[in-house]
Amino acid sequence: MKAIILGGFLLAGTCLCFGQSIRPVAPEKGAYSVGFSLQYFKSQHSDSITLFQVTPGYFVTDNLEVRLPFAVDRGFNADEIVYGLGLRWHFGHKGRLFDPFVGGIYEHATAQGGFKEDFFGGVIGANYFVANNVAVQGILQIGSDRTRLPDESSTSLGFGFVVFFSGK
Amino acid sequence: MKLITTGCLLAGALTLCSAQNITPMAPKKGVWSLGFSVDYFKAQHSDSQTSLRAVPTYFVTDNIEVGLAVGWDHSSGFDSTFFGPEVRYYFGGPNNSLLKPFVGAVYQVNHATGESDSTLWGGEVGAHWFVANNVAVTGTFIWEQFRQSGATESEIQFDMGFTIFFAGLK
Repeated sequence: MKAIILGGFLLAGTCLCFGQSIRPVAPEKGAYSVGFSLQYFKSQHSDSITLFQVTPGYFVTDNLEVRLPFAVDRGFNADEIVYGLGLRWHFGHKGRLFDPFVGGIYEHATAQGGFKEDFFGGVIGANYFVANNVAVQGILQIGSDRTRLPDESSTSLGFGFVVFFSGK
Repeated sequence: MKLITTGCLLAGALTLCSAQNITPMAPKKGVWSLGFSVDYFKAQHSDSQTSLRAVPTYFVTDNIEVGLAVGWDHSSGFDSTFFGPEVRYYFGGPNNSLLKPFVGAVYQVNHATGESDSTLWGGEVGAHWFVANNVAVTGTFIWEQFRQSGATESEIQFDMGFTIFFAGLK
Protein backbone atom coordinates (compact mmCIF):
# COMPACT_ATOMS: atom_id res chain seq x y z
CA MET A 1 0.00 0.00 0.00
CA LYS A 2 2.88 2.36 0.78
CA ALA A 3 4.19 1.83 -2.75
CA ILE A 4 0.81 2.79 -4.20
CA ILE A 5 0.74 5.98 -2.11
CA LEU A 6 4.31 6.77 -3.18
CA GLY A 7 3.32 6.08 -6.77
CA GLY A 8 0.37 8.42 -6.37
CA PHE A 9 2.64 11.20 -5.14
CA LEU A 10 5.03 10.55 -8.03
CA LEU A 11 2.13 10.66 -10.44
CA ALA A 12 0.82 13.90 -8.97
CA GLY A 13 4.30 15.40 -9.05
CA THR A 14 4.72 14.41 -12.66
CA CYS A 15 1.37 15.91 -13.63
CA LEU A 16 2.11 19.18 -11.85
CA CYS A 17 5.37 19.59 -13.77
CA PHE A 18 3.75 19.95 -17.16
CA GLY A 19 2.33 22.89 -19.02
CA GLN A 20 -1.17 23.22 -20.39
CA SER A 21 -0.36 23.27 -24.11
CA ILE A 22 -0.81 19.52 -24.54
CA ARG A 23 -2.90 18.10 -27.38
CA PRO A 24 -3.33 14.36 -26.79
CA VAL A 25 -3.03 12.25 -29.95
CA ALA A 26 -5.41 9.68 -28.46
CA PRO A 27 -8.08 8.52 -28.25
CA GLU A 28 -8.57 9.10 -31.97
CA LYS A 29 -9.31 6.75 -34.83
CA GLY A 30 -6.04 5.61 -36.41
CA ALA A 31 -3.85 6.38 -33.39
CA TYR A 32 -1.89 3.48 -31.96
CA SER A 33 0.23 2.61 -28.99
CA VAL A 34 3.03 0.14 -28.49
CA GLY A 35 4.10 -1.08 -25.10
CA PHE A 36 7.15 -3.29 -25.24
CA SER A 37 10.13 -4.42 -23.25
CA LEU A 38 12.88 -6.98 -23.72
CA GLN A 39 15.14 -8.18 -20.95
CA TYR A 40 17.95 -10.71 -21.08
CA PHE A 41 19.87 -11.63 -17.95
CA LYS A 42 22.68 -14.13 -17.40
CA SER A 43 24.70 -14.53 -14.26
CA GLN A 44 27.96 -16.41 -14.05
CA HIS A 45 26.60 -19.52 -12.35
CA SER A 46 23.04 -19.82 -13.57
CA ASP A 47 20.94 -20.11 -16.70
CA SER A 48 19.87 -17.08 -18.65
CA ILE A 49 16.45 -15.48 -18.34
CA THR A 50 14.72 -13.75 -21.21
CA LEU A 51 11.50 -11.77 -20.92
CA PHE A 52 9.79 -10.22 -23.89
CA GLN A 53 6.43 -8.53 -23.93
CA VAL A 54 4.73 -6.41 -26.53
CA THR A 55 1.22 -5.00 -26.64
CA PRO A 56 0.28 -3.07 -29.74
CA GLY A 57 -2.96 -1.15 -29.45
CA TYR A 58 -4.96 0.47 -32.26
CA PHE A 59 -7.95 2.81 -32.18
CA VAL A 60 -10.43 1.41 -34.69
CA THR A 61 -12.78 4.28 -33.83
CA ASP A 62 -12.37 7.43 -31.73
CA ASN A 63 -13.46 5.43 -28.70
CA LEU A 64 -12.62 1.78 -29.26
CA GLU A 65 -9.07 0.50 -28.80
CA VAL A 66 -8.11 -3.05 -29.79
CA ARG A 67 -5.05 -4.52 -28.08
CA LEU A 68 -3.01 -7.65 -28.79
CA PRO A 69 -0.87 -8.63 -25.79
CA PHE A 70 1.96 -11.08 -26.42
CA ALA A 71 4.68 -12.21 -24.02
CA VAL A 72 7.41 -14.82 -23.82
CA ASP A 73 9.17 -15.82 -20.63
CA ARG A 74 12.19 -18.14 -20.89
CA GLY A 75 14.48 -19.30 -18.13
CA PHE A 76 15.00 -21.71 -15.26
CA ASN A 77 13.35 -24.52 -17.24
CA ALA A 78 10.13 -22.60 -17.66
CA ASP A 79 9.18 -21.45 -21.13
CA GLU A 80 5.87 -19.66 -21.20
CA ILE A 81 4.07 -17.96 -24.06
CA VAL A 82 1.10 -15.69 -23.49
CA TYR A 83 -1.11 -14.12 -26.14
CA GLY A 84 -4.54 -12.62 -26.12
CA LEU A 85 -6.98 -9.93 -27.09
CA GLY A 86 -8.04 -6.80 -25.26
CA LEU A 87 -10.71 -4.20 -25.91
CA ARG A 88 -11.01 -0.81 -24.26
CA TRP A 89 -13.79 1.71 -24.54
CA HIS A 90 -12.59 5.28 -23.96
CA PHE A 91 -15.54 7.32 -22.74
CA GLY A 92 -14.01 10.71 -21.96
CA HIS A 93 -14.09 13.79 -24.14
CA LYS A 94 -11.67 13.86 -27.06
CA GLY A 95 -8.75 16.23 -26.58
CA ARG A 96 -8.87 16.23 -22.78
CA LEU A 97 -5.80 15.39 -20.73
CA PHE A 98 -7.80 12.88 -18.67
CA ASP A 99 -8.89 9.85 -20.69
CA PRO A 100 -10.85 7.23 -18.70
CA PHE A 101 -11.65 3.80 -20.10
CA VAL A 102 -13.19 0.43 -19.30
CA GLY A 103 -12.47 -2.82 -21.05
CA GLY A 104 -11.94 -6.52 -21.07
CA ILE A 105 -9.06 -8.86 -21.68
CA TYR A 106 -8.58 -12.49 -22.60
CA GLU A 107 -5.18 -14.17 -22.45
CA HIS A 108 -4.12 -17.73 -23.19
CA ALA A 109 -0.88 -19.06 -21.71
CA THR A 110 1.01 -22.23 -22.57
CA ALA A 111 4.12 -23.58 -20.90
CA GLN A 112 6.26 -26.67 -20.74
CA GLY A 113 4.67 -29.89 -19.55
CA GLY A 114 1.37 -29.24 -21.28
CA PHE A 115 0.44 -26.37 -18.97
CA LYS A 116 -2.41 -24.28 -20.31
CA GLU A 117 -4.24 -21.41 -18.71
CA ASP A 118 -6.93 -18.97 -19.76
CA PHE A 119 -7.39 -15.61 -18.14
CA PHE A 120 -10.52 -13.50 -18.42
CA GLY A 121 -10.61 -10.09 -16.85
CA GLY A 122 -12.17 -6.66 -16.73
CA VAL A 123 -10.21 -3.43 -16.55
CA ILE A 124 -10.96 0.12 -15.53
CA GLY A 125 -8.41 2.86 -15.77
CA ALA A 126 -7.38 6.20 -17.13
CA ASN A 127 -4.64 7.90 -19.06
CA TYR A 128 -3.44 11.32 -17.99
CA PHE A 129 -1.48 12.95 -20.79
CA VAL A 130 1.77 14.64 -19.76
CA ALA A 131 2.84 15.24 -23.39
CA ASN A 132 0.98 15.05 -26.69
CA ASN A 133 2.01 11.42 -27.10
CA VAL A 134 2.76 10.28 -23.54
CA ALA A 135 0.34 9.49 -20.74
CA VAL A 136 0.62 8.27 -17.19
CA GLN A 137 -1.70 5.30 -17.06
CA GLY A 138 -3.37 3.83 -14.00
CA ILE A 139 -5.24 0.59 -14.43
CA LEU A 140 -7.17 -1.75 -12.16
CA GLN A 141 -7.67 -5.28 -13.46
CA ILE A 142 -9.84 -7.97 -11.90
CA GLY A 143 -10.01 -11.39 -13.44
CA SER A 144 -9.93 -15.11 -13.12
CA ASP A 145 -7.48 -17.81 -14.21
CA ARG A 146 -9.01 -20.99 -15.57
CA THR A 147 -6.84 -24.08 -15.59
CA ARG A 148 -7.32 -27.71 -14.75
CA LEU A 149 -7.05 -26.59 -11.14
CA PRO A 150 -9.86 -24.66 -9.44
CA ASP A 151 -10.29 -21.17 -10.84
CA GLU A 152 -8.42 -18.43 -9.04
CA SER A 153 -9.33 -14.78 -9.11
CA SER A 154 -6.76 -12.02 -8.99
CA THR A 155 -6.61 -8.26 -8.66
CA SER A 156 -3.86 -6.01 -9.94
CA LEU A 157 -3.26 -2.29 -9.93
CA GLY A 158 -0.53 -0.65 -11.97
CA PHE A 159 0.82 2.77 -12.90
CA GLY A 160 3.29 3.57 -15.65
CA PHE A 161 3.90 5.53 -18.82
CA VAL A 162 2.22 4.73 -22.13
CA VAL A 163 3.44 6.00 -25.50
CA PHE A 164 0.98 6.79 -28.30
CA PHE A 165 1.64 7.49 -31.95
CA SER A 166 -0.56 9.56 -34.17
CA GLY A 167 -2.00 7.65 -37.10
CA LYS A 168 -1.61 10.67 -39.37
CA MET B 1 18.60 -14.99 -28.99
CA LYS B 2 15.49 -15.27 -31.17
CA LEU B 3 13.68 -12.99 -28.72
CA ILE B 4 16.42 -10.39 -28.91
CA THR B 5 16.21 -10.54 -32.70
CA THR B 6 12.43 -10.13 -32.47
CA GLY B 7 12.87 -7.14 -30.19
CA CYS B 8 15.31 -5.54 -32.60
CA LEU B 9 12.93 -6.16 -35.52
CA LEU B 10 10.16 -4.52 -33.51
CA ALA B 11 12.38 -1.53 -32.83
CA GLY B 12 13.14 -1.38 -36.55
CA ALA B 13 9.45 -1.54 -37.42
CA LEU B 14 8.70 1.25 -34.96
CA THR B 15 11.39 3.31 -36.56
CA LEU B 16 9.96 2.80 -40.04
CA CYS B 17 6.48 3.71 -38.81
CA SER B 18 7.61 6.94 -37.22
CA ALA B 19 7.53 10.23 -39.02
CA GLN B 20 10.77 11.52 -40.52
CA ASN B 21 10.73 15.06 -39.15
CA ILE B 22 11.88 14.18 -35.67
CA THR B 23 14.02 16.54 -33.64
CA PRO B 24 15.39 14.62 -30.66
CA MET B 25 15.17 16.68 -27.49
CA ALA B 26 18.08 14.83 -25.88
CA PRO B 27 20.91 14.82 -25.11
CA LYS B 28 20.71 18.46 -24.06
CA LYS B 29 21.50 20.25 -20.83
CA GLY B 30 18.39 20.63 -18.65
CA VAL B 31 16.41 17.83 -20.25
CA TRP B 32 15.26 15.04 -17.95
CA SER B 33 13.69 11.64 -18.22
CA LEU B 34 11.58 9.55 -15.91
CA GLY B 35 11.00 5.86 -15.91
CA PHE B 36 8.58 4.59 -13.30
CA SER B 37 6.16 1.81 -12.55
CA VAL B 38 4.01 0.83 -9.60
CA ASP B 39 2.44 -2.62 -9.52
CA TYR B 40 0.22 -4.36 -7.02
CA PHE B 41 -0.93 -7.95 -7.50
CA LYS B 42 -3.10 -10.15 -5.30
CA ALA B 43 -4.23 -13.64 -6.21
CA GLN B 44 -7.09 -15.30 -4.37
CA HIS B 45 -4.99 -17.90 -2.54
CA SER B 46 -1.71 -16.10 -2.01
CA ASP B 47 -0.24 -12.97 -0.46
CA SER B 48 -0.16 -9.68 -2.27
CA GLN B 49 2.97 -8.42 -4.01
CA THR B 50 3.83 -4.78 -4.46
CA SER B 51 6.60 -3.31 -6.56
CA LEU B 52 7.79 0.25 -7.09
CA ARG B 53 10.49 1.34 -9.55
CA ALA B 54 11.63 4.84 -10.46
CA VAL B 55 14.61 6.12 -12.42
CA PRO B 56 14.69 9.90 -12.77
CA THR B 57 17.61 11.23 -14.79
CA TYR B 58 18.88 14.70 -15.65
CA PHE B 59 21.29 16.08 -18.26
CA VAL B 60 23.79 18.21 -16.34
CA THR B 61 25.56 19.08 -19.62
CA ASP B 62 24.79 18.42 -23.29
CA ASN B 63 26.66 15.10 -23.00
CA ILE B 64 26.38 13.92 -19.41
CA GLU B 65 23.25 12.40 -17.89
CA VAL B 66 23.01 11.47 -14.22
CA GLY B 67 20.26 9.39 -12.68
CA LEU B 68 19.17 7.71 -9.50
CA ALA B 69 17.51 4.32 -9.60
CA VAL B 70 15.28 3.36 -6.66
CA GLY B 71 13.12 0.33 -6.15
CA TRP B 72 11.06 -1.43 -3.50
CA ASP B 73 9.45 -4.86 -3.50
CA HIS B 74 7.11 -6.05 -0.78
CA SER B 75 5.34 -9.27 -0.03
CA SER B 76 4.21 -10.77 3.25
CA GLY B 77 7.17 -10.69 5.66
CA PHE B 78 9.66 -9.71 3.00
CA ASP B 79 10.90 -6.36 1.80
CA SER B 80 13.73 -5.53 -0.53
CA THR B 81 14.99 -2.15 -1.60
CA PHE B 82 17.68 -0.85 -3.88
CA PHE B 83 19.03 2.51 -4.86
CA GLY B 84 22.03 3.73 -6.76
CA PRO B 85 23.42 6.40 -9.05
CA GLU B 86 23.91 6.07 -12.78
CA VAL B 87 25.92 8.23 -15.14
CA ARG B 88 26.02 8.24 -18.96
CA TYR B 89 28.22 10.00 -21.47
CA TYR B 90 26.82 10.64 -24.96
CA PHE B 91 29.20 10.70 -27.86
CA GLY B 92 29.31 11.08 -31.61
CA GLY B 93 26.76 11.86 -34.23
CA PRO B 94 25.39 15.16 -35.43
CA ASN B 95 22.81 16.91 -33.26
CA ASN B 96 19.96 16.00 -35.62
CA SER B 97 20.87 12.31 -35.75
CA LEU B 98 18.15 10.01 -34.45
CA LEU B 99 20.76 7.66 -33.04
CA LYS B 100 22.31 8.73 -29.73
CA PRO B 101 24.94 6.28 -28.49
CA PHE B 102 26.27 6.38 -24.95
CA VAL B 103 28.51 4.65 -22.46
CA GLY B 104 27.88 4.67 -18.74
CA ALA B 105 28.36 3.26 -15.29
CA VAL B 106 25.95 2.01 -12.66
CA TYR B 107 26.24 1.39 -8.93
CA GLN B 108 23.57 -0.06 -6.68
CA VAL B 109 23.10 -0.97 -3.03
CA ASN B 110 20.53 -3.65 -2.24
CA HIS B 111 18.91 -4.53 1.06
CA ALA B 112 16.54 -7.43 1.66
CA THR B 113 14.82 -8.82 4.75
CA GLY B 114 16.95 -11.51 6.38
CA GLU B 115 19.88 -11.09 4.00
CA SER B 116 23.11 -9.17 4.20
CA ASP B 117 23.37 -6.07 2.05
CA SER B 118 24.73 -6.50 -1.44
CA THR B 119 26.24 -4.14 -3.97
CA LEU B 120 26.40 -4.07 -7.70
CA TRP B 121 28.54 -2.01 -10.03
CA GLY B 122 28.97 -2.19 -13.74
CA GLY B 123 29.53 -0.57 -17.09
CA GLU B 124 27.07 -0.16 -19.90
CA VAL B 125 27.01 0.68 -23.57
CA GLY B 126 23.85 1.51 -25.43
CA ALA B 127 21.94 3.85 -27.66
CA HIS B 128 18.66 5.71 -27.99
CA TRP B 129 16.86 5.63 -31.32
CA PHE B 130 14.32 8.45 -31.35
CA VAL B 131 10.87 7.55 -32.69
CA ALA B 132 9.36 10.89 -31.62
CA ASN B 133 10.89 14.15 -30.40
CA ASN B 134 10.49 13.01 -26.80
CA VAL B 135 10.46 9.21 -27.09
CA ALA B 136 13.32 6.85 -27.89
CA VAL B 137 13.70 3.11 -28.18
CA THR B 138 16.64 2.38 -25.90
CA GLY B 139 18.90 -0.63 -25.97
CA THR B 140 21.55 -1.16 -23.30
CA PHE B 141 24.09 -3.87 -22.75
CA ILE B 142 25.36 -4.01 -19.17
CA TRP B 143 28.20 -5.96 -17.65
CA GLU B 144 28.01 -5.92 -13.86
CA GLN B 145 29.63 -7.37 -10.78
CA PHE B 146 27.36 -8.47 -7.94
CA ARG B 147 28.88 -8.71 -4.47
CA GLN B 148 27.30 -10.18 -1.34
CA SER B 149 28.93 -11.51 1.85
CA GLY B 150 32.36 -11.37 0.24
CA ALA B 151 31.37 -13.46 -2.78
CA THR B 152 31.26 -11.90 -6.23
CA GLU B 153 29.49 -12.94 -9.38
CA SER B 154 29.58 -11.34 -12.80
CA GLU B 155 26.39 -10.82 -14.75
CA ILE B 156 25.41 -9.60 -18.18
CA GLN B 157 22.15 -7.95 -19.05
CA PHE B 158 20.53 -6.65 -22.21
CA ASP B 159 17.48 -4.41 -21.97
CA MET B 160 15.32 -2.76 -24.57
CA GLY B 161 12.35 -0.46 -24.09
CA PHE B 162 11.05 3.06 -24.40
CA THR B 163 12.67 6.08 -22.75
CA ILE B 164 10.58 9.20 -22.32
CA PHE B 165 12.22 12.63 -22.14
CA PHE B 166 10.86 15.91 -20.90
CA ALA B 167 12.08 19.41 -21.68
CA GLY B 168 13.66 21.27 -18.84
CA LEU B 169 12.31 24.50 -17.43
CA LYS B 170 12.98 27.37 -19.83
